[in-house]
Amino acid sequence: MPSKSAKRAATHGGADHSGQASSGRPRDSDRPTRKPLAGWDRLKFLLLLSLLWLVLVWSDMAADPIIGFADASRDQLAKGRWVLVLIGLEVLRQLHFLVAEHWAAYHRLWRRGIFGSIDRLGHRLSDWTRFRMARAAKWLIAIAILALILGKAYHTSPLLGLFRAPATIIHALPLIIYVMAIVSLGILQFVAIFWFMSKGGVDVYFPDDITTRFSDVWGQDHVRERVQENMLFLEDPESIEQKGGYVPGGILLWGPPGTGKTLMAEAVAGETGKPYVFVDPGAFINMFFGVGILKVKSLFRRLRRLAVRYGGVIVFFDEADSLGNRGGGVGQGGGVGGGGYGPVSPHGACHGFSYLSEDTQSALFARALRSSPAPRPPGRFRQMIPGMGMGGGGGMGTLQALLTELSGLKKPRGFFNRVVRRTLGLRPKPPPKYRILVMMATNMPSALDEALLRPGRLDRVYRVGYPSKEGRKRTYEGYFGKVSHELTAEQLEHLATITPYATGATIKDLVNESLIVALRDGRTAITWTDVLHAKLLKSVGPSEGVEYIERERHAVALHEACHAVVSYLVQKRNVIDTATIQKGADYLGFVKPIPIEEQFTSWRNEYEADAMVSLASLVGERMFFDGDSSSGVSGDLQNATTIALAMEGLWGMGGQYGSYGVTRAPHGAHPVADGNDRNVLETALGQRAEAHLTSLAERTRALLEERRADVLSVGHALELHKTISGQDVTAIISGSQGPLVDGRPYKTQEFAATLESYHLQVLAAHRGGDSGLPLPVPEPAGLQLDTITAMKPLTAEPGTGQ
Amino acid sequence: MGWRNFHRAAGAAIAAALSLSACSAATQYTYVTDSADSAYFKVPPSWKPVDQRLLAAAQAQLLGSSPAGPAGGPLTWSRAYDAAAQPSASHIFGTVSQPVVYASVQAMNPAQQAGLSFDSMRNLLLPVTPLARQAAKKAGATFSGFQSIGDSVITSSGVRGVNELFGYDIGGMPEIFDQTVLTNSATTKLYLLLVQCNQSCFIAHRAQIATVVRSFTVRGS
Repeated sequence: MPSKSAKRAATHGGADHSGQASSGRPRDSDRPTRKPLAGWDRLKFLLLLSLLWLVLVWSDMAADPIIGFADASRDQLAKGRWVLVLIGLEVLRQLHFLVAEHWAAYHRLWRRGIFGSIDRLGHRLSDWTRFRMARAAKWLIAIAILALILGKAYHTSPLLGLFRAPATIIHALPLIIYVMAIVSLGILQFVAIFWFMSKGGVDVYFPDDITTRFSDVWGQDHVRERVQENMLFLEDPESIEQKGGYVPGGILLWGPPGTGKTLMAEAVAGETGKPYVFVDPGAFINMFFGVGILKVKSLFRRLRRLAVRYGGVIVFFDEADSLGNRGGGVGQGGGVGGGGYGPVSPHGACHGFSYLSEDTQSALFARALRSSPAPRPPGRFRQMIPGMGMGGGGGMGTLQALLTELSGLKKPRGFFNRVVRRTLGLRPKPPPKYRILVMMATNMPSALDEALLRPGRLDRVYRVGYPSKEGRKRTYEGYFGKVSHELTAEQLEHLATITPYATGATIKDLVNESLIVALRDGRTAITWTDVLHAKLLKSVGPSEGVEYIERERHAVALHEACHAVVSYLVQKRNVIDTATIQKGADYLGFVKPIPIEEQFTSWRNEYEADAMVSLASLVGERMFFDGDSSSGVSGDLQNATTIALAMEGLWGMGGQYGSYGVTRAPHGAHPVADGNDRNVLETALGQRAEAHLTSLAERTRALLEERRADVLSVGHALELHKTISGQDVTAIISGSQGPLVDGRPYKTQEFAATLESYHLQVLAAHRGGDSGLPLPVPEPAGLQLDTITAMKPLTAEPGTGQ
Repeated sequence: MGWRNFHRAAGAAIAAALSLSACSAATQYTYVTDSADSAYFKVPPSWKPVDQRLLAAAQAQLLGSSPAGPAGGPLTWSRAYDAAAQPSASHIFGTVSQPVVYASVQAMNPAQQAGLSFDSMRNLLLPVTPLARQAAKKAGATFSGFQSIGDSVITSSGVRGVNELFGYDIGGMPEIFDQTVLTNSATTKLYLLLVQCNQSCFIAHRAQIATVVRSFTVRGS
């Protein structure tokens, strides 16, 4: 069992205190006698009171010109007796200190016997009762002082003075109003502005106001369990404190938008039955300096009060990145991958990079963000405007004030505690244990100040990521449970499979969009078709209604067909979700695969497959158009080059062991392909990447030549239907019936010849510039897009048809 | 601060505190103040104040038609102190064997303001100047035994006035009056301090009376 002194040392956080007790300055609590006072401290009050008495004598002399100093002094001995009483008390106090400094038993008697008994008596009361008693005592003393002053002013007793004061105030009310009106025109308006601005942005919800429970949080079980643990400590802090630990005071939830961070915090508040204080992200963005600090202090004052009253409180800072970062912050990190299903196209390419694996998308997305930074005023400019303007989140001391409050919850507080007790020679009492659970949520953790994340402030950092497949399924079940639908369990599971990065927010949106589609058709129950329509709308967005001319349509279709066929052949861990040539806002078409299963590592052959899918467009165009190619491949080439450079320079997937990662710039900038080194392709690294790409292009060419008929077939289906599903791609390549397209005719010799002939006509038109071409229709005709209602749930099986 | 120094300092502080407490709280004089009119004087502590209600009654009776009474303007303040064992308002203007002091402040009416002069100040209570005495005699006044002991004009610090020391036989006994009359620079207020007692008393208490009269101070305004 640890000794008391060892415990004390541990409590004070000094690992070596006990060991160095003999050499270091002794703690006051370890001294047998009282610590000697400094000379000034012994005399200052006596001098002050003596000075006060002299002032009273002088006042007497000033009031009566014929009275001398001696008589004025004598007069004050009678009239100013209270000063003498105070002087006498101060002398007694100093004598008490003096004795306590030299007589250990006397000191012990007071410290443990008398003051100790008082403390023990006080501790029998609850924190809240003591708080109220202290507040009542403050009011009583303030009223007593006021009564004394009024009694003097009215030349009556203090009690009567109190009763006469309201009459005087009423009598003087017109004058007061007049003065206040004048003042309000000047200073008061600023005071009012500051006061009003220091309010707002903070909402307090009491236990009954919150109906959210943990059962409403779906798909984040691992985080939920950890947060529940925190909640247990908040409910029963003694369970950890009695064992020498402390209640973790802060949780940071970070992750992509819409993953349920705010919901999680609400659920905590709903489950604990403690008040829940929601801090608006804009609460600390102010026009004037200092208002943010006022807000922080006011907020924590309220939190302490709630914590004492209700035994705990939860404060939640939503979008905590708005608090800012003293170091300038990254602030631009961004959630990689986005939250929706749509293609991301940083280069304005035909189809963005939606056919790439998640990791590859991550690298490319970050690069795309860095290449177009949001306009920001220079930092120096922000710092040089005094007084007003440029009210930033974390600037102007707001963040510092927050940091101080977060780590300052254990300081002694209160005038009586700090001043009166110290005047009586008592040590200020530590404050009651404020059970304040600070929760923050952000999707930009890199924008947070490092000091905010240190243990003691935010002890626990949890990533609220994209929900797992099971979580997504549970979420779909939850949201579909709130509407009328005809979906089967198998369909819901499949939906969870084909929406790998769906979050709670996007799932809720998809369900709502499905309901809108159903209502548009005059139905109230959602069908599988409605879900697919909604998903397509969310994936592709509304079509621009642009009709390509025939030869361009054919070229775009072949371009996407090359991506689709190569993806089908080489991307073993993905299946194609959608392929389209419907022109969108920033793309001509795209092929979008989805992962069959969640994986957390990526391999060389996968990156090579990604690069091959990227290169397929250029290789295919050259192959089908006699060496000619379009500018539509630019984005594909950038993607392929970035992948190749990273493979060579970062991931050890090329010809060298050394990594350019050691030169990684701050904020995750890509060291070999961040767009800053314009000569990177001329370096040895660039040449190795080029060689690698050439090799991959050759492999791609071989694949495409081998599968020329399949490319023409998929291209034809795209020309005919504009948008087809991955199952249709598989059906066309394998010659089976797909949900939308019957792939069997494509495997007939005649139709293959027709397609080849059609292509040659397009090629001739391409050479000659003729745009008027008939489009051959295979027999039997494929299903129209309208027949999407016949689509059956896809069952994603790894390697289907491959 | 060393231990020895502290002992010295603490000892000095305690001694100072104790000596202050040990001092007698009684002042050497009783200070009489009219803050509103800025009039001050002091009397020996053995002189006792005359009851204000009795004083008001005496004023109404004795100063009814006198310019020092309501006829000259409202009295804004008045006090009387009596050295007798039983202070009484009847001692004022009477024959007394113990000094009695009467002080008043009067807001002069326009008529008195217009006629105010050093002589009118001298004759405020009793006829002092020859003309006033002749006029009083013609009017049938019974005062006799007038003796002028001293006369001085006061012009300092914003006030003007006279100090007149004179005697009259009252009831067959010579009574001495030390009368100071002052007015402010705006000539709106009239300040009166009168100390009186019989001749033997006056001689016996000359020093005390002189102190009282010298202490009479009016701050000019």
